[in-house]
Amino acid sequence: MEKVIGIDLGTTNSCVAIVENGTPVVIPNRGGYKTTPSMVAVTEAGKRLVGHIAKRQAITNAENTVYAAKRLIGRKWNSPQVKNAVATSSYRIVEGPHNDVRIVLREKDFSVPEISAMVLQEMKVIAEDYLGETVSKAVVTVPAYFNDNQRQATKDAGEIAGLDVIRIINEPTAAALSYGFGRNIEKTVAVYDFGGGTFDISVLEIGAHGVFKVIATAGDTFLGGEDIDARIIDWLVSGFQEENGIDLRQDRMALQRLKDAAEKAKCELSSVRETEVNLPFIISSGRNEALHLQRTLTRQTLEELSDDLIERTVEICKQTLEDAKLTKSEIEEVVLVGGMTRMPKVQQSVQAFFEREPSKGVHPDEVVALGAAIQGAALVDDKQEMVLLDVTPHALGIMTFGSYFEELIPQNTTVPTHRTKIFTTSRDNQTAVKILVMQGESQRAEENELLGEFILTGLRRAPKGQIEVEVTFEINADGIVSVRAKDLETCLEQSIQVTATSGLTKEEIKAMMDNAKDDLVDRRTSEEFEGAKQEAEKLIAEIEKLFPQVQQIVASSDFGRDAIEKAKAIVDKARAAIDRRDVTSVKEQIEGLTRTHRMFKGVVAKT
Amino acid sequence: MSEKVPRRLAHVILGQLKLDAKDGFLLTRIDGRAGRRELARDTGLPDFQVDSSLEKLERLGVIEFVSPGAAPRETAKPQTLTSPPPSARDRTQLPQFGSLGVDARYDPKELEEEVDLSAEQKKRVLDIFYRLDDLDHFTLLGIARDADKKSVKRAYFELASVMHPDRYFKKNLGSFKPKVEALFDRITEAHDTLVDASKRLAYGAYLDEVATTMGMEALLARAVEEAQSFVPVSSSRPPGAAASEAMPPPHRSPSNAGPSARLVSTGPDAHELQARREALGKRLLGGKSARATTGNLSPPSQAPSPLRYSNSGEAVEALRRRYEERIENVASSQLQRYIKAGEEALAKNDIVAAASAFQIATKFAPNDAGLAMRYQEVKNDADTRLWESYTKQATYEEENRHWPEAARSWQKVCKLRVGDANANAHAARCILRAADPNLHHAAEHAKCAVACEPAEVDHHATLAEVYLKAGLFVSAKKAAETGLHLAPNHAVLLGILKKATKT
Ligand SMILES: Nc1ncnc2c1ncn2[C@@H]1O[C@H](COP(=O)(O)OP(=O)(O)O)[C@@H](O)[C@H]1O
Repeated sequence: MEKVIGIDLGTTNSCVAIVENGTPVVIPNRGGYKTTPSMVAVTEAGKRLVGHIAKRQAITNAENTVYAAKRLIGRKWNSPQVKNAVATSSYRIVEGPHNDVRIVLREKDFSVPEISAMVLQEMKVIAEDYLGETVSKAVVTVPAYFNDNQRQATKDAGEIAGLDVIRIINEPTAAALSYGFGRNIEKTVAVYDFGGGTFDISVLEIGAHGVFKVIATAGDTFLGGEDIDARIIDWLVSGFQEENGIDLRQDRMALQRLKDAAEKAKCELSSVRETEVNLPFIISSGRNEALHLQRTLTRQTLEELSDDLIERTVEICKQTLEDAKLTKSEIEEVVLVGGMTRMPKVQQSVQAFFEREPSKGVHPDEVVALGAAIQGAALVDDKQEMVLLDVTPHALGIMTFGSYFEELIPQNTTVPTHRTKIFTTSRDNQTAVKILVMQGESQRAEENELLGEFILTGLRRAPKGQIEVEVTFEINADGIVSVRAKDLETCLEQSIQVTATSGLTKEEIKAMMDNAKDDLVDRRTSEEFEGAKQEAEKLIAEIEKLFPQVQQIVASSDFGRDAIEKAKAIVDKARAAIDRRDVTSVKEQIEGLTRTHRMFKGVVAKT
Repeated sequence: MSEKVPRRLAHVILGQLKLDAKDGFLLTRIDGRAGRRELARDTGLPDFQVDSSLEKLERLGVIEFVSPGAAPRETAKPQTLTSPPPSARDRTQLPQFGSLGVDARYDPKELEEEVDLSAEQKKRVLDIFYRLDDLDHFTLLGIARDADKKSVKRAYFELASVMHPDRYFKKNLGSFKPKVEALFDRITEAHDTLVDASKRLAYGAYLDEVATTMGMEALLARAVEEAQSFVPVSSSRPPGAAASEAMPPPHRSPSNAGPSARLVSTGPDAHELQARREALGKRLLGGKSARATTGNLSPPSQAPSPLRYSNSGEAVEALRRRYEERIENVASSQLQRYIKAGEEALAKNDIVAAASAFQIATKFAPNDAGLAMRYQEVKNDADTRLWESYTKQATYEEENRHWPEAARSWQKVCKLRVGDANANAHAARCILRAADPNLHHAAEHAKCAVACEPAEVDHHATLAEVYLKAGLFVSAKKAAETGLHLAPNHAVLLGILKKATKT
């Protein structure tokens, strides 16, 4: 049976693992380290360097050393995240031909997947050295909150590196696999993953029979340790500017040194209360003398500088639990993952929020790779007793008339799955519909990610709303999304397999959406819904007018109280149905409302 | 020691275990508290039916008998529904539903496909796959209807560990791949519905609606049956009919209606019946064993003893009168019993049970106009209830895009209210949507909708669409034209007209 390696392709560090004789182990690199910096450099001589060697020469070769490429993978050139990276990176980021991102190293352009491929290849070599045989299959992890474009780009990177990426899994999920593997427990576990570039939170149920079910997952792909480093850099830079009137940001080399110093200081402050940032000869003053940077950073100052960032992670945790309809008390274990969770303030905040001490037993730098290896083994080895039930991190749907996003597969739906909805034509005599497939959580279509589009033609000319189009979304076990639209009258259908990376700019997408306006479908129920809504609202108003009177009259009897409770419930249900724009349900509630109204009138009339 | 009461072990969708509607209805009333008598009263089913149904349910492992008030057992799984214990199960095997077994619903050819699954695995996939529509969430997961969240999860995890497509990663599954994915999708839907309190409530309400309508139908059917089986006393009965032949059917005896006795009490057993029959026979034949009968059974008649009649003709006539009197007595007490049962059911708001009781009552007093009216009234209410129930059911099914089921439910609605244009239109459209539409039925319903609301142009459109789909272009054209008289610019109709004329 072929060996499958698990790779944690981190923002700052990467790690590779494998399951050997049923036990997952991390494979150390040639230097004996279990993690390898996710850094790539090209030397003056044109030689490629990856990992520790790249890191060691970073300061002297800052412009040609790439770090944190993961922040750019699968992103569009004009996304704010890329803009931000362009401003703060010591290496050159330029626009690629498809609105994508290119990194310039020694005059040569590299795509982001190409850079990540170099890291992946390094991990592959580490594994091959250790195993003494070639490896061609891998499970690679990504932040849970990566969208389809980012996942696809990561897969592409694997392919460039000569790896068949048999599955992409989420980092926190991998951590949970590693935590629960072989323990035979039944527990609801929260995984708090705060790494170099991303923050993720996932809630999983670990059950009997080696089943791991992801319940909810959320996060922020632009919130990580580097943001805290940036706060320290800001603090150092502005202090230096005040003192010397010189902006250190103008100098790429100084910037790289600041970066290193900031991170070092941050890490040190996890174990000591204050530390010295000492950067001699940081910049030349222009008067032929060099200036030194020397400042003391206390843990308290660091905590003040990073307070809102940590608070944001807690906010996301809270939201995730709410979305999953879970209370804190239902979380039976909290697992900490990612280098940033070594920071005492982070640990305190997590503990304070979950009201429980986080689990100790896992190694935050290694769990993710171990989990990836476990999943790899489970997929190819029939004897492995483990199955992972993963979810879609983002909602999937289509754009409907009026630029609304109509969700078909909600966030956190277990895959594989399929969902169907019926839509109607949005204007008279519409003979074609355009299906814009989108991913995201916003009600406004343009705020979501466009994954693809296709057209269904040949509809019969009819007034708007008459022709019904059935749209089906399907996600298979490999995470591949396909979308099908079917004219219910003629049974003609069109479909696409969504392959992500549309490579379009926001403007292009906007233009596309505008162009498509005439050809969109509509929610089936609009007119019917408006009618029902009006009727229901009228009844609710009248019932509510009678409420106090009725309450007074019947308050004394059990039956009366019961009836009032029921009436209230009906009104609530009707309101909820209206909010959901659920026409069938509104109509159903109208029956109940009518009955209630009649009963109320009867009660009032009798007295 | 108090009598043991039946308690449900697992939720089983009605019909799935080859239960008939009566068994199914009875099952809905089994709550772990009611005993046989209460069940007979609550369902209005005759005792023997209750007994035989209970016996059948117990045999099938759907219920067990426990002492009343015994602590509820947690998600006990009946033998027929459980899959083998996890340790014993080969991890790559799909679970077995013991209750499915019987007849294969797939084409045996499907088993011949060359895929990386054993014949046994293929069979199981197909067995479950083709039954997905018939299995309710509880049955699918193999859990009791009142199973708590934890049990739902356990059951789901167990199934998921063998049904998740990753168990067959990179295996060649051919046409089985989408089926395995569908199985997993369905168990996930079951799990997600049952662990979410509000979704579970809505789903439970739907299942109840299904059970209620089935139960109601069973009850109404039984009322008709029972009423017919009872031969009311008629004066045209030929004199001298053999006494044994003329015995009233062995229903309950009024003698048991003591103050504490239930309305529907355990009927007399065979020995008692035999004894009574003999006693009656003796009396009719002039024997002296009148004392042998229980006082209650023979009405305290003032009639002279047959021995006093001087000639045989007179004696026979007297015997006949006596006999009829007796029958009448039985009939009138039966009448009272059913009226009382009806009123009681009414008080409990069990309108369907009430209607069936009153219907039987009318058979005992065919000339009682007041009673007949009362029956009509209650019957109308019962029909309304049933109509509501089916409408809800149909709406849920339509919402969930189960077209054939929705079509069936709408058709039931139509049967209850022939003039329900809306239901007819829905029925027609759902039939059209179903995979293999019966266009004849669709046309009937569409026609009905048109007949009920001839001014509603959409009904004409529905009818025209049905005709068009059936290839009846002339009729489609005609229907479209009629509709166009009402709304000359109706685009759908214009479209159909164009299509119908073109072809
Ligand atoms: N002892 C420490 N205290 C505080 N932060 C740390 C410590 N060790 C590592 N980090 C931070 O953790 C981040 C890297 O975490 P890691 O889990 O390796 O992230 P990724 O997987 O995204 O590369 C970096 O921002 C690093 O500065």
